[in-house]
Amino acid sequence: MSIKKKSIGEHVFDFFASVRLSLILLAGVAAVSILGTLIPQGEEPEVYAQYLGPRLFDVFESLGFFDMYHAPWFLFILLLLALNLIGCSLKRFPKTMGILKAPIRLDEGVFKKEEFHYQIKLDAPLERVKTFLTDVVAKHYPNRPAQDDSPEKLMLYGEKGGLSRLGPYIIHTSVLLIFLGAFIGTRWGFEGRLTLSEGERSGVIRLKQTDMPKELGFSVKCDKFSVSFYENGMPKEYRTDLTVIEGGRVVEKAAIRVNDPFTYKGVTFYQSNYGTMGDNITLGVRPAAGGEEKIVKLDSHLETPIPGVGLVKLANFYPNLMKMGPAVKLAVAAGAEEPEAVVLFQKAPDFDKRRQGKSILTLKSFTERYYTGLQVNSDPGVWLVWLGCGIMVAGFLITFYVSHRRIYVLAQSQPDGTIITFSGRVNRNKLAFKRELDRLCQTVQANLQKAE
Amino acid sequence: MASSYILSAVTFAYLICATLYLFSLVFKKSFLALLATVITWITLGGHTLGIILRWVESYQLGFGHAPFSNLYESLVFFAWTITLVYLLVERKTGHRAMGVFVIPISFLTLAYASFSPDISSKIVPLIPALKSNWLIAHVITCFLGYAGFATSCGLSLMFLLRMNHAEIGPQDGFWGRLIPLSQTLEELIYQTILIGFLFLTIGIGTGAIWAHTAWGTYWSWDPKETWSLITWLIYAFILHGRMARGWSGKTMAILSLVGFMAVLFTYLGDKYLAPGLHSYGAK
Ligand code: HEM
Repeated sequence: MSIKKKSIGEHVFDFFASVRLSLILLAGVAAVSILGTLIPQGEEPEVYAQYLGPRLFDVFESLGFFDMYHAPWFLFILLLLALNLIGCSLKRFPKTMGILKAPIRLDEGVFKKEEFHYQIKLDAPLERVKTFLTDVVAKHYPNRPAQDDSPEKLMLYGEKGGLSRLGPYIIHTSVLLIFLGAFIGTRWGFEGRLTLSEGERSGVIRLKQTDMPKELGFSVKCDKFSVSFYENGMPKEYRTDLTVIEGGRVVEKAAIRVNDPFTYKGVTFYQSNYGTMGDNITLGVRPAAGGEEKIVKLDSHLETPIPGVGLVKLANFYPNLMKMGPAVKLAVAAGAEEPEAVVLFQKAPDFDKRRQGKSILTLKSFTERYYTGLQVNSDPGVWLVWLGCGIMVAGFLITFYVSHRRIYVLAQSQPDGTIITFSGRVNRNKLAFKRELDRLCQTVQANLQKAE
Repeated sequence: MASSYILSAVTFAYLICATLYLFSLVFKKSFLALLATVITWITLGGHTLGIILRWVESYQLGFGHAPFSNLYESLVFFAWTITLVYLLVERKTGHRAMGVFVIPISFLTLAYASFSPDISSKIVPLIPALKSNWLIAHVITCFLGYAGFATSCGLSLMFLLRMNHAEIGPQDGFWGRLIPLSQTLEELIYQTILIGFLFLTIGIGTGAIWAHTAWGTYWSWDPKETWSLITWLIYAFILHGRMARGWSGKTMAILSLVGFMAVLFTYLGDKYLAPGLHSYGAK
């Protein structure tokens, strides 16, 4: 045989299909992950800048070190790993199938080659042991049976557990399924938030990454939010009662708890946080120069025009601000100026005097009401991830706890009885296979001796 | 609480077991070793009882949950899995003397759980995020995985010690009685890594399912999560190297030590990293 020179294409393929590359990649992903736990990910830029100084900050920033797991080069490593897996499997699969499908040669030569040998001698003549031996081998090694029967000798072959050789392919396919599921999830899924006060209804969520609004195509209404506590004050349960409304009709009602989300049309709602907000807020407005106080109702979601003040919008509600009781923060826009933040305490009616505006505002009354914070996600790839996990575990069990066991048995007629030679081969768990062959010999010996 | 008394007694019993294993070696008496094994099995029984009682007591307190929810409970369970896996390995190999290396770890783990001032053994109710059957499956499988890796780490240490005494047969001398043949050890290191790898995989998977039902994301690169992935990758690396490049027992043993460092970091290291979802007690 002459050694063929490999083409460049073959070299490239071999590189992509090599276990050496996969070792490099596995170590690479591990190293990057370690780095990612040492450099806190996803912090505000100022925090990094303060620690690193401007020059290092620029370097780290351009390398994507602050969001490594989504950096293009990290995704590139994962892509290489996937290619490596595919290449490796393509390269080896024919060989594996070759082993599983190899024609069975029955001649005495095989007994010299195999790793395990056992020999037992029986007084019984060959004819008397033939059926028992055939049955025993067929029972314990049922796959691909072969035999060569002649008056002076009997040769048998049987195997089982060939599936074990396919185990690594099953595992590797499962890794690819998980990758695919994750890819589909990030490409076509979304993650968002929705805050609803009790009684409020909305069909628009805010996307997490971009903070852009997104239409769901249906709307949900928060009927009630409740929180319960254990005796020692620890929270026991957070619960949101939700109604789904589509096309003007109520289509479903559901309760959401932590660890118990609710899915409608591929969109899943998770209980995420909660709080209280002010509603039915009334303000008192009186001119700073003196005069009568007027009572104004503030809309909790829209800008409310208040004569003599401008456009007022509720920015925040505090059940207890700075230990001074309930308070609101308003955004007050007078004319074309930038909105001004105004804080009003219910218990301190004169607090707004300090602003020295034309009017003095006071917080008169409000009702306190829960709002619920929901995480709203859609992940069309997640089922592939779960499928991949399941297949991976099945693949491990098949690879590690099944082994491809092949056995050859030769029974030779002797003047004073029969010599039976066992020999076998296994792809893993050699010790266990050795014990199994031991037992098989003992069974054969015990049974055939007894039969005499 | 009866369970606390039982677990304290069990801690003390492990000290006795460890001492017996040590005496059997020092005085070369095989009946002492047998006694050590028997008492260790009994102690494991008491340990199991303690865990079950704690479970029952939490129900009697009116907020029942499986006893795998905080650092104390996880340490108690970790010690349990270590002892169990060790006893199974001992049964399989018949090498009782290895207990000298392992049972002190069970003892120290329990003693740390009971006596460290930072760790509370009080049974407290679960916050809503921790109420999940997936979480129970997650904790149990992760710790079985850790125990597999811990055992393979112990065996690797023995392998490295044994290397300098390779000529000693199984029957003669201190090292011969103490430590199985290198060949056997190599096989056992591999087998226990497989156990660890299988369970860590299931552990990561069930953890992902839990995270998905609780927060809607199955993977968020939180530090503890990431470290479990790092551990997993290290062992995948070891398995491939052994299989495809035929790494020697020594290389395997050293890498298995490295792998176990990653396990320890996964379990306890989050104190030193940015706080994440998994920090016990914080969230
Ligand atoms: C995260 C990714 C991977 C996982 C979890 C994984 C897992 C496994 C496992 C558990 C085995 C069986 C090991 C044993 O028998 O001791 C195996 C075998 C193997 N893996 Fe991977 N693997 C991964 C990636 C890769 C990659 C990227 C390659 C690329 C070359 C590769 C090539 C192989 C080969 C050649 C075998 C041996 C197959 C045989 O025995 O016929 N693996 N893999």
